[in-house]
Amino acid sequence: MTEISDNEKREIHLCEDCAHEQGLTLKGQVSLADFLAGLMKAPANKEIAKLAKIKCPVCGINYLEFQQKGRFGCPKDYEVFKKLVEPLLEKVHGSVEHVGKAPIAVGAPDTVRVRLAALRKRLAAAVTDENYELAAELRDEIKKLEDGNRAT
Amino acid sequence: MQLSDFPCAGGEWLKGDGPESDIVVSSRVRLARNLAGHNFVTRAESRELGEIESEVGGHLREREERFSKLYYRMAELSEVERLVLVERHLISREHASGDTGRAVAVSDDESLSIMINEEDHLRMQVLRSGFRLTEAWKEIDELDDKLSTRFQFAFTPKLGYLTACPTNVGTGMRVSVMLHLPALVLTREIEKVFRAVSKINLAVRGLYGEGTEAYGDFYQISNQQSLGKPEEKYLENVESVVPGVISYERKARQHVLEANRDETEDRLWRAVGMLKSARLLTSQEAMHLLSGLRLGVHIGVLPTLPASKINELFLLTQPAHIQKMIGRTLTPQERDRARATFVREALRSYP
Repeated sequence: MTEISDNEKREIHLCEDCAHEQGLTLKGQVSLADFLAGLMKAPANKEIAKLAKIKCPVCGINYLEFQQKGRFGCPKDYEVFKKLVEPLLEKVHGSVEHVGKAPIAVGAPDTVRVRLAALRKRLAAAVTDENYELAAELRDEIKKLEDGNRAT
Repeated sequence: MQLSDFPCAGGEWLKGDGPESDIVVSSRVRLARNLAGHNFVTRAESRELGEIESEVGGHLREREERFSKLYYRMAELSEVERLVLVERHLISREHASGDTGRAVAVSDDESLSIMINEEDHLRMQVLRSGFRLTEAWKEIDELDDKLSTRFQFAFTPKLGYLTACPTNVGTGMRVSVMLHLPALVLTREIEKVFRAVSKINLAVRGLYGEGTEAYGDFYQISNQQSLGKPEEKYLENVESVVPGVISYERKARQHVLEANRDETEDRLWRAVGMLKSARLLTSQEAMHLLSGLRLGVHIGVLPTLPASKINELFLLTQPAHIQKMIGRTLTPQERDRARATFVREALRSYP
């Protein structure tokens, strides 16, 4: 690899262990933590004190700790830090609202019928969403399952 | 349970079959899930993590026939054994680096794996040989439905599946394809692919995911967003760029044959010569030469060799697999020697 420092270019050859140690990455790639840190602007001193005060009653982390680690402590954090997280989600995902599958209820019998119910729910959502391509796919899958169900 | 349970060959993505498999090595879909009522992994007590491991692991081993044989707790594995799992794409480097409550359940054919207590309580993935994203998605979707009748996942209708890192929230889904793009590397066109792909919110990574080099000209393309669109849409986003990259690589292959046939033949035959005669091979060099062999076979410059055999060579020459084969920990120099010996032996009757 080529390293340029103090306007001096030098070639260095690294064995895989050293390369791994140096944490070499694909060109232009940033780590997830850096990526998140970049999105979350460093707060001013006044703000720091304020952010540190907002604390999750379940896992006990405050927003500063989240900013440092880029990881939440528990599911409740999404609610506790809602106002602070939403702009972040908007930046990362371009959305703050889930559109997609949902879990089937715990304890529901694990049968074709349960799966069919889940698929029908998604079909309805796809139609509302005017996503007709997906709707057609789901319809095919439902039909396949129904046919298979009748056969057994 | 022993790692020797793993057959030397085998492993779904090694088969080298499936659509476009000369370029699309494998298709992968993973889902991140957390159990409601527990802290996320980084904030959970080790006792709690142990409980989650035994509850989820126990269920998988007892109730899901295909997970009954291959189940590993990180704390019970040596470093080399953990790396074997990383090299087989069954766990992440991150997962291999910790102990507490970490485990992985692997299906018999290695096409499905579920990491327990990685960054999220559950990280389940389906890995398929070739360009078969839809198939992979259907399989993981079904497993997820099934598990959701047994475990209460952390989920809200508004934000979807809640994950430790907000970059995974919503669907918790990451879709990726592993591509072999040696001709685009040779013709120095690969940067263009990176630029085009990153413009549409997809990421390009190396062979072993985040922060790894693209050794052997392997690149992973995956979605970066997970919230706001249905799963099928994220699947489609990745799926739709692949044909373009494939045809770009094919054009580049055509170009290296037509514009510079002598040079290309020389380069690829030299790769074979090195593989067949080297006495020391670093894993990086081996991957580079094997990439030439793979390209040469696919464009007809080199005599045929089954795709599964070539893929197997890539896997078995990785550092941990070499050590597993020899049966003890080796220094890097010993590894390079063992690797060269193994490759020479494997290619003895080739071409």
